[in-house]
Amino acid sequence: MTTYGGQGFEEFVHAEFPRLWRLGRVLSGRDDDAWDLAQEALVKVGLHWSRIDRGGNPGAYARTCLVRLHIAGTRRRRRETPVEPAHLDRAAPNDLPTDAVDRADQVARLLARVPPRQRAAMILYYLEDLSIRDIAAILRCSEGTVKSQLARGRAGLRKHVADPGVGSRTRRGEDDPR
Amino acid sequence: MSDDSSDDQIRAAFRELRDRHQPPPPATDAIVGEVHRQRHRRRLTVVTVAAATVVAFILPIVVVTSVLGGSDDAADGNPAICAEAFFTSGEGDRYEGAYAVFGFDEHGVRREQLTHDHASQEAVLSPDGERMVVVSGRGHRHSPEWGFPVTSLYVSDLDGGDERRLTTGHVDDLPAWSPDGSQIAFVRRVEPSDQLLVIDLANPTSPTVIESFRRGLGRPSYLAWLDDDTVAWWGESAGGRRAPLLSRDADGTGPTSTIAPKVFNPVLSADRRQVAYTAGVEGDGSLEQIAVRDLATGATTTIADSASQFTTPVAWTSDDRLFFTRNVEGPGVSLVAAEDGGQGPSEVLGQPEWEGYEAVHLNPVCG
Repeated sequence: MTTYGGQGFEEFVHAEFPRLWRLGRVLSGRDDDAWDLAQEALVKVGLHWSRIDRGGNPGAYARTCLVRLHIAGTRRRRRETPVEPAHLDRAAPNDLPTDAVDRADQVARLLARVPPRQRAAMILYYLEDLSIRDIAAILRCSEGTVKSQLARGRAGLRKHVADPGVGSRTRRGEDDPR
Repeated sequence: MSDDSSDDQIRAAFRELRDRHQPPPPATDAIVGEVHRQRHRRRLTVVTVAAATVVAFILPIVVVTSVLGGSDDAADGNPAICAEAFFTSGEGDRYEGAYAVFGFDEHGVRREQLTHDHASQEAVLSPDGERMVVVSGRGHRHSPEWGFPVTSLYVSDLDGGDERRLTTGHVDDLPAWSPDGSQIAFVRRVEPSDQLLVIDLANPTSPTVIESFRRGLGRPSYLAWLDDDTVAWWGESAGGRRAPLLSRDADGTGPTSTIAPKVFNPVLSADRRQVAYTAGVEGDGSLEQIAVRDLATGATTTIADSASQFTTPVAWTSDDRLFFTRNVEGPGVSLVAAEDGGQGPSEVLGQPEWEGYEAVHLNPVCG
């Protein structure tokens, strides 16, 4: 196969799979779905490897594929697989401080309740550190839509994750970008 | 505590959630093998399709014409047409530059591909349902970062026949037919500002500039006609805040008028007397709902069962059914139709299969 920056597709798979799996795990809430998403995204990258090799960004392309596969999959299945709050305590590593587990639990519970696109927007913003513009391009929506989705998610997160006193500032009309 | 520090805490919580699960080792051989298998399958498919196309060259034309091209059927609102193209919406792969517009039935299920040039991003059907105006970047090299450098408007029958190119050399999009089907309003990206224009189909070479917008401020994301002489538009203001629904004479004269203040995602009713939009829910900043405003009196009502975390009006049929999306019993977004402009009973139709929620258009002859 062709190479990218001296790196072949096999090396790319080996290097990127953990990152993609983790992203898929947070998006879907399930180990098996994370595996499927990471694998399908990498296959898509492999099918276009020669083109991406000529100046593209295979990591970003794989991430875009994974997010869109997840959204398309939730539509196709006509159901949503929630992040399973009941399994969170069991899955939490013992070496994390208790407050860290609690914060992560709150994030997981909130992500389980929001629509797939809003969940993806929040994850791309807070976890992948993408710009509003890049998120809008991945989700194929306007930047305003991304902002409004993030504002709604941020209001809920601040109440539970950040300092409890912060929640009082997130009334609609103040922090809400609409 | 500042917004930045609370955002930092949220980011930390996301990282903790991500890092609590350890990924398994990658099945590199299986992934590489699957790539090879799919490449081989694609080559076989191309050969098969090429042979089939030669053998059955006439058949697709006959099928498409019988399904979509029956202009008399479309004008009558034939259920067969509406089952295939009740809504239209564009889809595409930004990285591959392959786009197409599909027809969806009223449940939001994808039924028919309307465009085949791999470059069409949006199609809006004429008021009589016989023609469509398409936004296409065909003939131009697509870039993953910037899209097509030129998108033009084409008018054709629903099967692509009798096509006319209306514009050229610009980035044009968001077309909207006048009620009598004689004019099309659209938005043109022109440095350093964007323009709202109206093109007369009888004289398409000289469109009229209705309004100009400084880049990023108020650029329309919704266009409609109040009547054959008046264009209405709405664009998010800086920061995505709610903005007014505005209107102006289609010949570019007269003042710009506010027909509804501070709305979000507006959709006008078929008789142009009301506007539905996304509004907040009093006392609960995490929810939003559909509000309906009477343009003459300013009276506003809300659709009681529309409240959800993600609520957006989609279309309003001539028989006063209001379609909107909301998440129902969980995170999945569902398409809902409410009778009597939202005041009657509502029905959950399913989860729509279209990609975007902003470029979904109703076939005017359906409903």
